[in-house]
Amino acid sequence: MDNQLKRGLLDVCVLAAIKDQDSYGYQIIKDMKPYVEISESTLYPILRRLEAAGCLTVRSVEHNGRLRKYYRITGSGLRRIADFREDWKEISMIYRFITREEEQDG
Amino acid sequence: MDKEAFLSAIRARLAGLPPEDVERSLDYYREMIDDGIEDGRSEAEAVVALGSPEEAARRILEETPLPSLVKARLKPGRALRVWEIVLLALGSPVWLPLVLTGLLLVALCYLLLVLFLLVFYALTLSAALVALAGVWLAFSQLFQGRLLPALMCLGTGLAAAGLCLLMVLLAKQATRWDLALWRAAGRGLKRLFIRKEDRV
Repeated sequence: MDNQLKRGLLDVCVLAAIKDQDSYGYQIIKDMKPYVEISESTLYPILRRLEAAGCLTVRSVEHNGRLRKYYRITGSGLRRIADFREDWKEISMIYRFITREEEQDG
Repeated sequence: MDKEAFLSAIRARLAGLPPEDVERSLDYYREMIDDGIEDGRSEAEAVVALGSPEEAARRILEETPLPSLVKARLKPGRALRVWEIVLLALGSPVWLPLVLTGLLLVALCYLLLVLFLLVFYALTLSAALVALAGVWLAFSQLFQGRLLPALMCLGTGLAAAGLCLLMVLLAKQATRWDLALWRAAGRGLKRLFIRKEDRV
């Protein structure tokens, strides 16, 4: 997939992973694994970017004698997901148009 | 590779970056390894799952803002020896003008982009002003009973309004191009400062 496109899509994926409840890095990757392959190295810059954009907030929580970072989605983050869902409607219409033509020829 | 070796390898490749950034990224990978172990993996498995420290360092560097990258790249890893300082000073008539010229070129390119946009905005504004003036004059001519001049002013005003709308569209597109160019240039410049062995 085009790199720039994948970048934007993964950002929304990560936001969706923390949409309903706060989560931490390792768990986010586990949650995404059945749907999308993402490496730990790829996730780190995404989290930083989303934090800088105000789409999520970070807090440290004590866990088994060490600190674990939990990520929480913000209003901006929820809006990003909503925007993506709107875009997707457009994309799926285009896809339908392209494949409908093939069905007619076939 | 064990946990500490992995983290040290990343730390080495991030030398020169602000310490908070380095610690933050190491915290992240340390947490990943610890969570992996808690999930049942061995330390070695957890580290292997993270890929190579070079790849990890590259991703971190790519997200670092350009000024920090430049500072990190230019900072020497150790104190300069006397002969290195002397050589730098002696060679300055050569490299100093080159560096200054390079900086000047970058500044000029940026200025060009800004001026390009300003021209569009100025034209848009002038067209808008002519449109307003035309309509205003048309009415004032009409009140004085001068029909033909009124029509002329109205015609000019409307034409200017049309031109203004066109300029707004062009200005919007030009702004979008400029921003895209600026971002692409930033990415290209960043590549220069990320070491080749850290690139994949």
